[in-house]
Parts: sequence; C-alpha cells; structure tokens
Amino acid sequence: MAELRLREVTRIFRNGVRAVDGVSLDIADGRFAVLVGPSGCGKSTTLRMVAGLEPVNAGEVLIGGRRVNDDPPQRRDVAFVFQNYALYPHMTVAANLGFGLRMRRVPRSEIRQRVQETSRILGLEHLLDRYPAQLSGGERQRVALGRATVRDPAVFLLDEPLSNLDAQLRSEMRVELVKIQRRLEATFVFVTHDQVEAMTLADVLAVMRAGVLQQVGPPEEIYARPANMFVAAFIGSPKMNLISGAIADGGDGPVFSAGSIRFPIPSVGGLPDTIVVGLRPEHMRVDPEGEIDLRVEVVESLGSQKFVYGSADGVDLGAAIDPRIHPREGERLRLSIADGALHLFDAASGARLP
Amino acid sequence: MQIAGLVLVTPAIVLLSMVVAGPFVYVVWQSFFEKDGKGATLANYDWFMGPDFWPTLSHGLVIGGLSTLIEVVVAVPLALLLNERIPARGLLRGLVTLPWAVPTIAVATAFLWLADPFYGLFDQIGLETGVLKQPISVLGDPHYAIWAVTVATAWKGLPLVFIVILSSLQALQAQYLEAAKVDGAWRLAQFRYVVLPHLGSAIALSAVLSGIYNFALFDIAYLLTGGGPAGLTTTWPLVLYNQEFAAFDSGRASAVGVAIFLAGVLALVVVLGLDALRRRRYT
Amino acid sequence: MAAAETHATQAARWLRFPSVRTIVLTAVAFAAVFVIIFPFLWIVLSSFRDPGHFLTLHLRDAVPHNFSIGTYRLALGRTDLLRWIGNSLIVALSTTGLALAVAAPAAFALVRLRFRARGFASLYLVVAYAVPSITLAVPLFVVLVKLHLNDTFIGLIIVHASFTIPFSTWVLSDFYRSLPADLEEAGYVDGASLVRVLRHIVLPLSIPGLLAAGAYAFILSWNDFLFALVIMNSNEHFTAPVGIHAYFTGQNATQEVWASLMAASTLVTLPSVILFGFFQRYMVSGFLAGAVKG
Repeated sequence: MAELRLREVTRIFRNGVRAVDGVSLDIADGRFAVLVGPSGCGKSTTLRMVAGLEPVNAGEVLIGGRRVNDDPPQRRDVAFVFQNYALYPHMTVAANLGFGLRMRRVPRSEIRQRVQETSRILGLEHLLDRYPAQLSGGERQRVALGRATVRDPAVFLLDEPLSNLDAQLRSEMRVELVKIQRRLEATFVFVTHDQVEAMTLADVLAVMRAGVLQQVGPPEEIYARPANMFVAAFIGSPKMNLISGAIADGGDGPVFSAGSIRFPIPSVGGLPDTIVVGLRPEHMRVDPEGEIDLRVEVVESLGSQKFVYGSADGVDLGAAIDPRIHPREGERLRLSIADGALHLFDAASGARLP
Repeated sequence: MQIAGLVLVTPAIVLLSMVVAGPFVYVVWQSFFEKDGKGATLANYDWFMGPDFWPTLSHGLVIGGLSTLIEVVVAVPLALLLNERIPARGLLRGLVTLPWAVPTIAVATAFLWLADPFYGLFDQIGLETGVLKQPISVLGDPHYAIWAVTVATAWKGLPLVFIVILSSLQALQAQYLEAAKVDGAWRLAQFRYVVLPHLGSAIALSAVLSGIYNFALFDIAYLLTGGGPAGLTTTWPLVLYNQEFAAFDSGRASAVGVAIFLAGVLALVVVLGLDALRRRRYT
Repeated sequence: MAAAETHATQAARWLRFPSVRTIVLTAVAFAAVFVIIFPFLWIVLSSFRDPGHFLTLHLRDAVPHNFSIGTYRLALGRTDLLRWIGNSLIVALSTTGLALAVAAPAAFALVRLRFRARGFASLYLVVAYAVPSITLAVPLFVVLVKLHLNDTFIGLIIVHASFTIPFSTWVLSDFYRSLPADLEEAGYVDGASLVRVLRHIVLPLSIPGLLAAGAYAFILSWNDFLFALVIMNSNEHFTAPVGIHAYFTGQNATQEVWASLMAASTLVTLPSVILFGFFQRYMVSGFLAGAVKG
C-alpha cells in the first residue's frame, strides 16, 4: 500500500513520437485511480512506466515517496495485470499464484498459506491444480488478479484487464474488483478506454489524450465540469452535444444562437463572439415551450431509457427523453434545457469558459 | 477439382514411389536374402547379435547423440544472443546457418586441414602455446578420432537446430517475460521459468530430427576417417556401405539399412511421444 | 516552455546512447559467429597461400601475407575439377527443374484444392522424407544398375529430384498459403479454367516461392555426396564432391595435393553459399515449415 506520484513523466519512442508528454498525477494511498482515454492516448504506456516496463525519458515516478525511475520492475514492488493475463502456460494455477513470492524468496510454508487465502478470496480454490489452458476467460482473469493480490504489492497496475471479457462477465468483475480493492485497501491504477468502466470504478479519474493529461479529479466532477471539449465529449454516454454558434447581445444578457436555436446563456465576463456550447442529452426534456425544435431522425429505445437523434435546423442533436413518450421519425419535438446544464467552451482552444 | 488435385499431385507421388517407396520395399525384402543363400531367412539379422553390432551402435550413438547435444547447447545461447536487438543481427543469423550450405566434402577438407598433425592449425597452435607437447593426430588417434568426427558433425548440423530454436524464441510473447519481471524474476529466473519451458518442444523436435539425421549420416565419418582408426568411428551407415561395396553382400547391407530406419522411427516416436505427454496438460 | 525543452533534450540524450549491455552482447555475438564460421573461413584463407610454400610448420606462416591464386591454377590444371563442376551444374540444374516441375503443382494442389487423396498425399510426403538416405542407397544402386542407369546423369537427377520433393513441396506450400486466393478466384469468376488460372495467374506470382524452393533443391543436389558416390563411377561423370574425394584419396598428401584441395573445396562451396545468401530469408521460413511438418 503506497501512494503513487507522477511528475512530468514523459516517454518518447525511438521514432520520435511523444507517447506520454509531461504527465503529472498524484494518487493517494488506497485510492482507485483510473486512466481513461481513446486508443493510443498513452495510458498504457504511462502504466508501463510505473511498472518499469518502459523507460522514463523525463520526469519522475515515485512510489511511496521513493523515486523509482532507475529501478527495474523486479525491484519496484508493483503488480501488473495484463490485458491478455500472461499466465505462465506451463505452470498450474497454484504455481502461477506463488511465482512472485517464490522469486522474492518467501518461505515455502508462507507461500502455500498466502496462495490458499488468495484463492479463497477469488474463488479459485477448486482450480489450483489446473493449467491456464483449461480455464475459462473469467477464471484466467481472476488468476491474473490473484497473482497480483497474493504479493500484496505497494501498487496494483491493471492494463485493460476486463477488455477481453464478454459484457456480462465484465460487469460482474467490475464489482469484484472494487470489492477486492476496498478489502485490501490497496492503491489501484486501472487503465481502460471504456468510459463507463472508468466512471463506475474510479475514485480518481484521469483523462488522457495524445499523451497529455486533460483532466484529473473525481468522476462526478469530471462529468459535471469537464475542463475542455474533448473531456466533455468523451465522458458521458451518449455523448454530449457540442453546438457551435454565435453570441449576440439580447437585451437581458447574452444570447446564443445556432441555426434556429436560441437561448440565453449565463452572463460571464469576456465572452468571445463565437463559442461552443455543450449540452448533455440527459439534460433536455420534452417541453411544448422548449427552446429547441427538433426534427426526429432516429429513435433508440433501451427499455429504461430512450434517445432521440435529429436535427434542429441544421444543428445535429441527441436527447434522452422520457421513455413513455413515443416520437416517430419525421416528427417534430420541442425540447427544453434544464437549468445549469450548459457548458461553454472556447471554439478555438476547446477550453472551458470561464 | 478432384481430378485436378489428383493430376497435380500424381507426378510427385509417382517419383517418390519410384525412388523412395519402391526401393524401401526392396530393401526390406532384400534384407531377408543371404548373399549366396536360397530362400528368405533371418540370417542377415544375426548381425544384431554379432560382435560388430554393439561397437558400431555405440559409435553411432556417441556421434549422433553427442553432436546433437553440442548443437543444442550451442544453439540455445546463440539464439538468445541473436534474438536481442544488436546491429547486423540479420547478417549474423545468416552466417550461423552457413554450415548447412557447405558441402560435406568441404566440411571434411576443413576439418582434415585443421586437424592435420603437422600442418593443421589446431596442432600448430597447441604446440606454440605449449598446450601440446607433441603433435597429435586427432583423426588418426584412437582416443580422439570419434570426438573429432562428432565435432565436425555437430558443426554441419548446427544450423537446423539453431533455426528451429530461434523461431520458437521469436514466437515467445514479450508479455510473459514482462509478467515474470514484474513478479521479481531476474534474467536467470526468466530463462529458467519462462523461456526454457517455452523452448522445450522446439528443442525436443530439433534435437530428435538432428539426432536421427546425424546417426544415419554417412558422409562425414566416411570422408574424415573412413571408419578408422581401427574401425573406431565406424557407424552403421559405414557398415552398410562396406557390406554393399566391399563385401558385396546386399542382404546384410539391407538389414543394416532397415535397422537404421527402425532406430530412427523409434527415436522419433519416443521423443515426440514424451513431448506430447508433457504438453498435453497445458495446451 | 523552458521546462519542456529541458525534458526534450534530456530524453533525446537518453535515447542515443547504446547501453553497455548492447555493446557487450554485440561483441560476444560477433565473436561466437566468427568461431562458428571459422572452419570455412580457414580453408578459404588457406586457398590463397602460395602453393609453392603451402605446407608450413610455423604458425606465423599460416596466414598468407601475399595472396596468390596459385592454388586455383593448380586445382584447375592438375585435376578435372572443371569437368566435375560442369557435371555438378548439369545435375543440379536439372534436378532443380525437375523438382520444381513436380513439387509446385503438388504444393498448389495440397493448399488450394480439396480432393480426397489430399491427406494421403500429405502423409506420403512426410513418410518419404523420414526414410534415411543411406537406407535407400543400396536398393537404388541395385535398381539403377539393373536399368543401366548407373553412372548416368539421368539416374542421378531422378534420385536427387525425388529426395528434394518433400521439402520443396513444403516450402512451396508455405508460399502458396501466404498467397491470397482472391486473384485466382477472380480468374475463375472471369471464366478461366484451372489450367489457364495456373498458367496466367499463379505461375507468375509463384516466382519468389519457386526461387526459394529452387535454391534449396539446387543446393541439396550440388552438395550431395552419398548418391553421387554410389551412382557415378567414371571420372567423366563425377560430380564435384565425388571428384574431389577421388582425387584426394588417390594420392599421397603432397603440397600440391593439399593446395589444390583447398582451392577445389572453396570453389565447390561457392555456388551453394552464394545461392543460400541470396535466398536465405525465404528459405528459412520454408525450412521451418519442413521441420515442423516433419
């Protein structure tokens, strides 16, 4: 159990690509941190740098306050759960679990006891004598997790461990993971490209893009106050609507207009003439007096939720509406915006305003 | 499609039947006929009980087995070495496989020349450095001849083993080594617990193929020592050759030929069977 | 901004420097490979010694200072090396042609066509490959004598070609497997018969595979000693390895004999090594296909 600190960590590949660019992150002891971002954003590379599997070209990695840049993985007391599990194929589950302890010269009796206990926690007791090839995907994943758990490391690093599981198994394992993390009171760093996973698992969420950290904070905060357009669009499902438009002075305050949509926006000092307004689909509702006149194009019904996609005079929008309403394609729907649901972004930089 | 397939494959089958299958049947059949005998007997196979049997077999086993051992022991570290990211490694890999392309006559020349008691590099260096007090004739000396033949055989056979092991090594995914590193395994442990088990099948396969080939190899023993000194490097292939072309006893020669084939089949079945058993649990 | 610059230069410096480990490994690798190819290097080097002073007792004279090609002149002048090499060439080229002509269609059929005898044919190849050459030396000799084909090129060519068929077929099978079937299928859809598809589409595309398999067949035929020894018994028909062997065993080991032997051995190795050098890349994967199959 230890805290993890990344200070301006950078990784430049041989071909000059900056996979990770000046990432700084503090993860307190016992927190479940998630690194999320699209493929190729550098999140896995960052994780591997913490493990010592990638060299740190610039910056510092500190585990438990100690600088580990120059330490090879063997010395770092971290555990890594691979996306493809990387279970040793020629060793039994028990041997796989005990391997790390064996390498660290833990006495045999203690290894046996710890392996027993870990396998009990993860429900692997009946599998101890099997080989990885004989296990299902879910079982293998639990062994991979067990291999990490049994070592009781300072930091747990998990590289998209749920990506290879089917949807049902994935949700079950998500819950298991959190339980284990809480039980062990361990520091978890979890990498995923799935923002749903990210939001549900994280105590601390870090959004990355093209090697650069976009925003760090509790999931609710990132959801409620995204720092830029990228984060706003990435987090939240369905995606936030981003509408470009102009601001004009409308008597009582600034008014935003795009296409036929017109609504007032909160008066904040120094607004440029054109901005991008962010509006989450779930923050609109059907209202005969609403500001938005939407021509419905596609309706998606998920049972408990309903989404409509369409355009309001050239502006494409998606909205989450009451599932009891049944709009038809081609129909016109009026929508209003909930209070405080607007996010304002600078059109050029993408940064949040103010 | 049926006809087309048959037609395209037929020439190969025909040629192989003429040159391999037919002769094989013939050699088995011939092994039951004595040189000047009448009917079919097992007389030729009493060679197995004879005085010649065990010495020649042991020569073959030493040369075949030891050369294969040398090949594996050299090939594994070499493959590890040439799997690293070092400059010109493509060139180096190509050079390692050079012995395969060298005709056995040239291999013989090279080793004869190196081992010549007076003019050969081996003896000259030995004398110069004081390791040798007087010239030794490696190939003529009863104590050393078989080892020299073994080394030359290993030299020729190294490329095959090297290539099979190198490709197995290349197929080993990095993540297993990474997992081992994170688990605390240093280089030696990584090798012992991850690399070596992975290479197990490749080593078994290449070793048995090379072993059988080296056991049944005629060229090098014949060219280097002719079977001498005093028959100390005579292997079964040489016995066969002598029986046919010196003693003109086709029957006996055939019996030896069949024995060589059976030895090969036995080795193949045993080694591959063991490897299959080993792997059954975790593949 | 300044902080970013420092990081960039820091990182760049980090990347350029080869580690000590790499240097040591490279040195060891070069040394190991040198030791391995040394026997061959040694005869090549020795072939450039002055034939007049070929046999020396002193180490320092072992490495030639002045390179001379006298040994080659001796080898070519005193022996029938040129004829033997010519014979080897005839046999090897014919073997390659025959082997490819037989193996290529077979490989194609095994990979692309589904026919009932496919499994049998595949197995046949594997089993044929498993029979040791020495076991077949006697019956082949006897049969060829009976057919009056011993001491002829044709006899040796047929034997060589047959022995290279399994491996050549595997090399070519591997090659065909990597060739997308789309082009052939487009041909069929366009109305071409199998024969036309083979001739106009498959054949031109086969060239890299044919070159690799052909190089392999050539080398095997060129290098063969056992069958050439058994089948050829007149000096006019000797292939290079047999001729050289006959020459060397028929004489006392004088200076001239050693000298010519060095040159002859180097010459006989050259075609194989050169071919191998060119096609090595392709041959390695075929090698594996063969080894794994076996």
